[in-house]
Amino acid sequence: MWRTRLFDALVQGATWIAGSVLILSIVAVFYYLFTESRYAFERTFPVGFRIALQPPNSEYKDDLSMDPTASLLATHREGTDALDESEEVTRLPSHAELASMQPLVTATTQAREPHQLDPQALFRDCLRSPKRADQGERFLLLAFAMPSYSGKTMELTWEPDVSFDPAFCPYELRLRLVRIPEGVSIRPIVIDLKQQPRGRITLPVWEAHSQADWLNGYLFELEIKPVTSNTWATLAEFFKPDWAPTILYARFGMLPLLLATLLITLLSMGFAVPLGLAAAVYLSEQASPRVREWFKPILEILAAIPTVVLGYFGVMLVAPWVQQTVASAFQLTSGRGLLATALIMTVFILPTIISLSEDALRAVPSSLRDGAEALGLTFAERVRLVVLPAARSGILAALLLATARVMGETMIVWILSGGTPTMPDFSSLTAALGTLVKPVRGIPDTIAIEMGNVEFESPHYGHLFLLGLTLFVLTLAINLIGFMYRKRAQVSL
Amino acid sequence: MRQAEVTWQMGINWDALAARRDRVRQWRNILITRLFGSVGLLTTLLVIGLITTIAYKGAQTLSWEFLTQPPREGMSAGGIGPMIQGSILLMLGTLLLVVPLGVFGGICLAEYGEHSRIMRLMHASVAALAGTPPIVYGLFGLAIFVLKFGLGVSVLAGWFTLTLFSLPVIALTTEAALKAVPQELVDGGLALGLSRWQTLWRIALPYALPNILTGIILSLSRAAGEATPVLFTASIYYSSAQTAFGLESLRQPVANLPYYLAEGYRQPGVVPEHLIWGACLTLIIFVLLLNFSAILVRSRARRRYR
Amino acid sequence: MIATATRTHTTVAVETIDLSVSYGDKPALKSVTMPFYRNAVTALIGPSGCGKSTLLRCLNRMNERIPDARISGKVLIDGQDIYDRRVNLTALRRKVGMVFQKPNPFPMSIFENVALGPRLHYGLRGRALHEVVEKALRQAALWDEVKDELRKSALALSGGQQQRLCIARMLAVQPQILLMDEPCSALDPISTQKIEELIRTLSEQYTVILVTHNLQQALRISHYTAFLMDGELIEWGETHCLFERPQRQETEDYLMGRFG
Repeated sequence: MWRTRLFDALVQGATWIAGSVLILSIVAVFYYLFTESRYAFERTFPVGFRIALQPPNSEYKDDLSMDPTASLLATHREGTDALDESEEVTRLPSHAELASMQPLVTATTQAREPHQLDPQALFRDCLRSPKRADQGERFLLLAFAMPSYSGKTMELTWEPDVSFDPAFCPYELRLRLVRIPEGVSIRPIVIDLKQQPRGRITLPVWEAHSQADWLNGYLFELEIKPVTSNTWATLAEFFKPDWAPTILYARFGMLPLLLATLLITLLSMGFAVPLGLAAAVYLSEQASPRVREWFKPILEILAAIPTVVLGYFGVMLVAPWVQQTVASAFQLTSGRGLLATALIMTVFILPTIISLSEDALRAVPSSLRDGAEALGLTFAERVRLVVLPAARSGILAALLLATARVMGETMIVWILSGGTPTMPDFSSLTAALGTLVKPVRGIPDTIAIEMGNVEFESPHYGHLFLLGLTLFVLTLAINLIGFMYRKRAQVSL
Repeated sequence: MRQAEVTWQMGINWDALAARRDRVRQWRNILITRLFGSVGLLTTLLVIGLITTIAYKGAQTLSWEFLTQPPREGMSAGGIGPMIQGSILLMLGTLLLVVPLGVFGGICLAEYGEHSRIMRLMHASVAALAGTPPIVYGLFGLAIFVLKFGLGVSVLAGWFTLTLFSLPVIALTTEAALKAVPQELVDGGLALGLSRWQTLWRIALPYALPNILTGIILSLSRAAGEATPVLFTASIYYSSAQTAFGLESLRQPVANLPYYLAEGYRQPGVVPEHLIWGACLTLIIFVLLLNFSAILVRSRARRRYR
Repeated sequence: MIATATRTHTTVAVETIDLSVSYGDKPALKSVTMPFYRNAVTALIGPSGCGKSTLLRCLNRMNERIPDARISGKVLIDGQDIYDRRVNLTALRRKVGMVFQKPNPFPMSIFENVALGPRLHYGLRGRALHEVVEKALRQAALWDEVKDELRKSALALSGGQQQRLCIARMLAVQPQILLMDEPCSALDPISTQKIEELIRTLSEQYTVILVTHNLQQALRISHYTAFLMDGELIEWGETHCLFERPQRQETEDYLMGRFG
């Protein structure tokens, strides 16, 4: 008797332990995907503008990055809040030296208040550390002409630093004239840099006559004013259309990745669903038992081919074909892109669709087929009007499961998508065709590619988890709906 | 019942009416039937084409040396021995961990799965986890095993991640197999005076065993071919450091076939094409061997228990 | 109510000539030759597995769905062999309707169930379709019960109602011959009675061929009865004659209950 009890206790105990591990793992997966995403919200938002004082008709007026006298005011990851070497290099020389070098000067400083300005500590550029969305920043900029300048007016020109996109940044950006030098009459100037990211204003000439005099010139302020919390700013940017996490002015807008994933899913399901359903109908309704016996193992083999291998198959055989037939018309040298990915994805998902839908079709009681046949329906009518509707729940469950698998499939997209995040463009037929063959990048492959070179627990790492969370939530929703349909199919048949 | 007397024909020549439509229906039927048949054929050809292409290209590389030797000359020559060993190592550990957890988890689902709202929620979550992409498991494994538990990128972390990846599928197949056990069989056990758990263990489980085994091996073969769960938890491209398999090596990353292919793609031009095809074919064979063993084990178990 | 062939049934609607069927190497029907009269109910009786269902399914070629069935001999309907290669299967099924043991309504609304056939075969729609559906449901004595809920799922009906729906579904296709494969075996006594009444009424307009394992039922509603055993047609005749004065020993034994 005690042996029976011991045995019972053992088995029951093991069951409970396994059950709790299962529950624990479910909770842990949810919990960690959420909590690791928190690093994303510790991110900072870089800002960078180039501002130069130029004579009218300067040769650099449209391209400040080429102008050697332009000042760079920036907060990004290469800057610090103290003086550093890169700024030392741009320290302004003495008045005499400067006069021989350039007629118009902009100068900046690490100081944030006008009374802290020191003529000995002025620099052409100012780089500071990037700030959170709820932290502000303020740059001061002096602008003056050297006595040698002969022009009547001078133009203050500004533009965003290369690869900085003001539309992305969560701040209010203002360029404000805070002090008008004596003897100059000009109206106050306040420019909204988000409305007008590049532009110029004409200023009356004001000349500095000594190094100490520099401080008396035009004094501008570049104000970076926080308007929202860091969390909201991070989330808002997450749904914007630019993914560039490694550049100086990193951007984490996952919209192109999400759209690419959705497009790949849509396209490959568009190929695979009709083919898969037709094959499933053939298998369950038409094929003789012998054919079915052959077909099932073939499906299992196809399902067992690792996705890495499918990816290679695509890159070596399908992509060149796509390149020759379609992509060459768009001057693309590689066929890797949306179309090639979707084609191989179709091959990947077909066996799943076929065998799951076949199961659903076979679960339809044969009495319904008899009834339809006795009523004089042709084979096609029987399938379309009786068998498919009866299997609807089961087939929907199968298709949803397949959709979730396509969405999360990583290696095929990694190898075949081309790896460039691009926004799809359907504005015209040509553009749509181009979108079809141009390289894209989806969510799962982005995680796989970038996680390899990311600093752990950095905002970039957090954003990869945020991507994972997005994917998880999407597939979870699809899977749960599929689960519901599967239950319904079991109940109704 | 007299309403049946109403003129049934309604003044319509039914045969003529039907005959007009019959031809179109017949043609449409033939068309659709052919269509379905040809799609079936197409799928078959697709698979055969795919397999033969890979087999043809890979077979030229396949040799005993290729399968056993380590890579040489900066991965551009030699074999893929360490990768195969690594894949086997990863699978063995996962097998040991996931089988008890998955089977007992499945028992738990089958016994208590419908009991309360919480258990139903758990059931739905397990079903949803079974369809969760492997890359999400990779992320999770990285966060918890590699970083939180401080295991680093290692065989252990890989085992745990792969275990989590296969666990829901195995639990669900076990549950389905147990639910398919005829009630009479269970009742028979209970009538013999066996306890609930003895009935489960001695009667229901042996009956369900073939299906459970199939589920285990199929989900493991999927795990074996999947690169993403081990991408950042267990993998290294290749390390020439001599690895004697000891406890210490479990804390080290390990080379494995799917990662070799993934990394070989990331660093283009390093691994020559014929080695890639060879590795592709090896990986397919590796996975198919697991599949075939599923079929074998299943048929043997059927013979034994039924 | 004992059925007698009071009206003389002279026209033969269906006739089997030397009909044999085997599944694989197992013979199921051996050389059956018999007529079925127009506007009469013919019951097929016999122990289970005797081939009565097989015979019935031969009459509208439903046996062809079974992969290894082999059929030889002839089935003449209005003088034409339905196994002739030129016969249009759809037209045959239109002419010969069938109801099965278990009610098998399609998973759609009541109206759609009945409308499916006439819509496909005759291209009816709108009012004409509605009229045909209503008439079929009236004939099946179901109209009064479902007329307000035609859009409801057919699966929500009771078993007896479902079976009458299947009869209505068959009638809507305008058949002449009705095959019924133990139509009451899955039903309760009250539903059974309703359907038996229905079959009697229908026989005024249709040729009904009925498989039943219930001898009382055969006696109650059929005009003619055929007794089959082990795939052989032992004897057939007017129902009351066969029940009162069986010619063969096997028939007598069966009627006395010596066989299952």
